[in-house]
Amino acid sequence: MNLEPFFIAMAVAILFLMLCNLYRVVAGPTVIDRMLGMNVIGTKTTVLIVLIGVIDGRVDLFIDITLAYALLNFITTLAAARFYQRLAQPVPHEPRESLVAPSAGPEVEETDAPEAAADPGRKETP
Amino acid sequence: MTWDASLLWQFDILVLIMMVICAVTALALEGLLSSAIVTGVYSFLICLMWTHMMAVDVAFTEAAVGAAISTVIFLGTAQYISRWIKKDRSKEQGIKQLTIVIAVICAVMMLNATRDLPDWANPASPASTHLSPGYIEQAYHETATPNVVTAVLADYRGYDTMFEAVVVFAAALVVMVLLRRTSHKHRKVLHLRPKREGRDTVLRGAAQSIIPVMQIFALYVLFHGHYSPGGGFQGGVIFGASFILLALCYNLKFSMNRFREHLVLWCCAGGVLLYAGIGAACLGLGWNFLGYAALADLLGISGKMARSHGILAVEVGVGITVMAVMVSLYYDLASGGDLEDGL
Amino acid sequence: MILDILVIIAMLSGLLFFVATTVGIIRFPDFYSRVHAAGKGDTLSTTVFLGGTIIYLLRDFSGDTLLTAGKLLLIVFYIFIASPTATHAIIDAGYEFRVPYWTRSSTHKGTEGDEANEETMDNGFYPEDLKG
Repeated sequence: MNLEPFFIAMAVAILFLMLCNLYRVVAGPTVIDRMLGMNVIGTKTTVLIVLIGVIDGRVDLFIDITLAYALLNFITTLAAARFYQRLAQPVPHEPRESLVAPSAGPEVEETDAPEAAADPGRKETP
Repeated sequence: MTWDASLLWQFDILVLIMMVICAVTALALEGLLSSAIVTGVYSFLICLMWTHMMAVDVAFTEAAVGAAISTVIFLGTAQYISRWIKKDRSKEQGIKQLTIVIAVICAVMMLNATRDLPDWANPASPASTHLSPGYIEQAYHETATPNVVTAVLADYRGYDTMFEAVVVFAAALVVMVLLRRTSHKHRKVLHLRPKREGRDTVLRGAAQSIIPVMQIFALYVLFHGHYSPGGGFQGGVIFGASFILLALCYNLKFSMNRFREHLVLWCCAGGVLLYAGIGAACLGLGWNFLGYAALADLLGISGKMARSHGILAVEVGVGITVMAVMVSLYYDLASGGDLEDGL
Repeated sequence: MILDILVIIAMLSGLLFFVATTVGIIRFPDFYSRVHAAGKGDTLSTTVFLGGTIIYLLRDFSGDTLLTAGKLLLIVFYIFIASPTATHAIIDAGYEFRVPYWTRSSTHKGTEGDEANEETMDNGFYPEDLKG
């Protein structure tokens, strides 16, 4: 029984569903929704690589890249999630001059509390 | 089942649509973190495209470097940049529209040029008629390496790979020079946050079971590069990524206690030294630089086995350099040069 | 013949789980519920799908296909461990960043709640262009 048209249909179906998942990557209201979409797209790409191997009849050529891909997808998602988690930690307050780059122009974005700009010499309590 | 050289057009259309959507989105998004993530998705998709085209070594390298390491480096860099971006964007609309017009004109010109490209897998195309038939026919007889890509990379085009290793080493050095904190620099580059008191049990358990397998797999990819897609570069990246995974699941100090920074620098330089050293040894024995057949008399084997072993040795050199460079880049970028705590 | 039927059943159920995952990711109103859909559905559909591929490879039984099937089994085990761990890391990050919950009283899809709650976050460092 020739299963090749079935595998081709499966590959196209999975790709179409990945396109629907891309909506979450593009339009996720927060950054973390995009990370979720990236994880799903990465996992499904490993499935697709194996499926390409099955369609072409040479799975042993693609099996190493599949395992590497699964490993690296995990690392990417983990790094993004840990980075985002790190942003959630509070920042200890410091004197004003350490926040300004030495080469920054006069229009530097004010991210710190506004009262610190009024008195640059005041030492803030951490 | 035979393999015929035909691309699945339904597959290609869908992947290309997704890639275009990702590329446009990565430019249109305002946040740096979001753009980095969408760029990662783009890397995943282009790796898929190359796998479909049967360019497996390229896809392997893209998966290893583009999808994982590039995204981690973008994330590590996005910690620094965000505080110095101007908020007044009203004066830039004219420049933006001019840029879009120029980009569209260039894109149309390039798409017009693609009509002259030969068909995919056309045996009469210039890429298939000059050097490629010679390599494909002679590579196994001359170098005893079934994987023609590895033979071309490390033997016929060995200079390119050596300079790639040097460039990667230079990148690690540059990042270290820019970021590593010395006594002269009192400016803090990165606003370090306190370490979170987290319950990392799940991540630590997963890391404990995954990292040893990952490292053995990396060594397998490196040493099996003669026979299957892989080689030194991909094996080195996976090995370096295992240390990055260790640093992510525990913390940076934990990983640095196991792979100290001076050992990292020794490995960075040692791999390039191994590669260039083998070339110089071949030169000293009377052959060309990187002419591995010179090692035949030294090792007491035939010429083509000497070339095969020479390829293996330079791949090991590239693998060591790339592994150490990935770890060094992560140490410097994630912690802002302090090497205290980060990501 | 019966192995072919098994392969088709396995791949179709993998596709069915993936359809459920996609519908969940697109339609659920809240980040936390989307993570449920993505983490569980994605892992299960990949596992079942690759299980079908292993059965397909083992139809003609030889040393080479046994090795490839063994590697595919390793990939299945790995995805079974790593994908839920990545989901755990994502939801832990979202929880510590205090992504707001969806409640039944909000008439919008929850995107309004994300914007409204950001002023209450007392993180000292929240630059505008890392908001996404």
